[in-house]
Amino acid sequence: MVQIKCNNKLFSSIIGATFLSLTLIGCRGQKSENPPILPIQNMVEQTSFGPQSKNEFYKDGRAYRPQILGTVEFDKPKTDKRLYEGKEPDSTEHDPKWVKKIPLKLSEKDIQRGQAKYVVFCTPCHGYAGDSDGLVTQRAGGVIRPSNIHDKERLALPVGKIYDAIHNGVNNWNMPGFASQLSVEDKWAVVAYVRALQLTRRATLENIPADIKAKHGWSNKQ
Amino acid sequence: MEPIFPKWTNRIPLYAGIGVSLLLIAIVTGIWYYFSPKFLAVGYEPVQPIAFSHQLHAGQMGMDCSYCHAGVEKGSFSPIPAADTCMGCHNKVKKDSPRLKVLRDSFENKTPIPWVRVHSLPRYSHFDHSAHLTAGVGCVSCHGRIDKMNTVSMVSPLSMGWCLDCHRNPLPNIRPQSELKNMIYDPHAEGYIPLNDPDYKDKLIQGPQACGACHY
Ligand code: HEC
Ligand code: HEC
Ligand code: HEC
Ligand code: HEC
Ligand code: HEC
Ligand code: HEC
Repeated sequence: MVQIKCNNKLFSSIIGATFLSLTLIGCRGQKSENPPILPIQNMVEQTSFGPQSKNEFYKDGRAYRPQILGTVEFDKPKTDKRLYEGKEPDSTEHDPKWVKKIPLKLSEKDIQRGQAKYVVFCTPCHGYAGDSDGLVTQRAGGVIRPSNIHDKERLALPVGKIYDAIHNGVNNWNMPGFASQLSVEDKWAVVAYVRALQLTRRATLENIPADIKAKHGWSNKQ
Repeated sequence: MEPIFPKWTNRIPLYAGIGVSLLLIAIVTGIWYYFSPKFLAVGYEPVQPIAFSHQLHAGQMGMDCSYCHAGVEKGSFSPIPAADTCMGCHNKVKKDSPRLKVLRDSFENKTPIPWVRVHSLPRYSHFDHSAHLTAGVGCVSCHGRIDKMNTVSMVSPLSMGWCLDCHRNPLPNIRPQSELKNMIYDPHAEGYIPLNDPDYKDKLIQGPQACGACHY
């Protein structure tokens, strides 16, 4: 009698444990709002701070302190107005004189890098070809109205102004600037790529170097 | 004479033998299974202060990860975008949406948005994004299909075993430099062989297994 009872209990507890673990197995990878549990807590939290971590000592809670106004970067001073601002040295705040020529030597590889950066930062609004048909522009339903890179005014823009558009944005953040996302070289590379895009619709046979014309059998007559 | 112990007690050693070994097995499997970060960490999906959706921005609108996480190719960590980045669009798009109130307040008062950290290693271990991206490991290998997530959740355990599993045999996870942020590209299906790629040809792609690489 005792034996049977005992077996029953054993039996039911085995069944219970099986069910419990089966249901818990189902929880593996389940979505949860509770932070991960680390069974061993040694040194998980330390008094040092990493990037983007929290420090309650400061009122805003940021461990990384924002730059103090007027901080000057170590390394070479950025006094070259042509390179860093896209302006001629004698231009003033109210009367900017934009540079007409890219103040850097760029190779084909740089233009390819410019394309890569253009695809990341500009296509959402301006579209791959610059026709203002980016997916974000379409989704936003008319609130974002990027200028068409191929229209007349944009063709006439000096490179310095395009650089300034990328660096500082346009028209009070109507187009955002990308000063912190792109390095100076990257920004000029994007400028060069925008110029290349514009050329794709304007180029004539005269723009093509003679050796390439000869290679493909293109000639001025025809 | 009446025996002191009833007859069934003869079986106690047998029961105890079976019971204790079953219990031991249960404890070991239990710890192996339930104490593993695969159980404890995967699936962490905290509520964020703004209902920001990667599914909409990165998925439907096809925005590149670097538009917001700019600098991930160059630095050890991947920056969470500043409010300025969002405001480049949201000063026009859904300008008055109540769902973006936290963003507007943060932009005006110059306070950080209190995003809740999802992926986080213990402070004694160090991870570098740029090293993995230059070696050709794409975001999707570690973070999963972010472009399908409305709220970011963790799909990898981020345990030491997980790091080492890949470091011992990284080649199946290597993809071309142009596809690093492509969530759909599958190097297997494309028949991609890293050793033939000029980008990786003369490099020995091998994750470190020495303790000092990650613990310093
Ligand atoms: C958030 C959407 C958005 C993004 C991203 C964007 N633009 Fe624009 N862009 C605009 C809008 C809107 C305008 C029109 C601004 C105006 O005239 O008020 C504009 C205007 C321009 C102009 C013309 C400026 C002028 O003075 O006429 C250029 C050139 C330009 N963008 C280039 C770029 C480049 C290069 C990038 C990538 C680095 C880029 N844009 C990214 C929205 C965007
Ligand atoms: C429109 C801007 C934007 C784009 C584009 C974007 N992200 Fe994010 N991402 C964010 C913001 C804001 C957060 C912080 C809030 C959150 O966790 O949802 C974030 C968080 C994350 C996190 C979690 C960080 C943590 O706390 O651990 C990962 C991983 C991530 N993004 C990966 C990606 C990947 C991969 C892509 C490209 C497919 C991408 N993101 C594209 C803005 C963006
Ligand atoms: C390149 C432009 C762009 C950027 C940058 C951007 N968004 Fe958006 N966002 C949009 C568009 C377009 C929509 C879709 C609006 C719609 O559904 O009509 C949207 C929708 C949203 C919505 C849903 C709003 C609602 O009321 O339905 C939220 C929340 C949001 N974004 C948060 C963010 C945050 C946070 C960031 C910064 C990390 C950000 N966005 C960056 C373009 C952008
Ligand atoms: C080899 C795996 C791996 C790859 C590839 C990877 N990540 Fe991460 N990511 C991690 C780990 C691990 C963490 C946690 C880092 C920490 O806590 O120090 C993390 C953290 C993050 C965070 C949170 C902020 C931070 O840096 O701590 C963001 C955002 C992020 N990753 C975005 C990305 C994007 C975007 C890509 C692709 C360009 C990417 N990750 C590629 C493993 C990876
Ligand atoms: C999907 C594959 C994969 C995963 C997962 C992964 N790694 Fe790596 N890791 C690599 C590869 C490949 C390299 C080799 C880089 C090289 O050869 O330059 C590497 C290199 C490294 C390096 C050396 C970086 C340097 O400066 O040379 C460190 C440190 C590292 N990984 C840490 C981690 C940590 C910590 C984790 C887990 C949180 C992790 N990795 C997860 C693939 C991975
Ligand atoms: C590829 C990077 C990497 C290497 C190499 C590595 N570790 Fe780790 N280790 C980690 C990570 C990431 C964690 C955190 C795991 C977690 O959060 O669950 C960790 C955790 C640990 C822990 C703490 C475990 C705990 O839960 O308290 C110890 C101890 C440890 N590692 C020892 C070592 C030793 C010893 C070696 C050399 C044989 C080594 N590690 C090599 C990445 C690494």
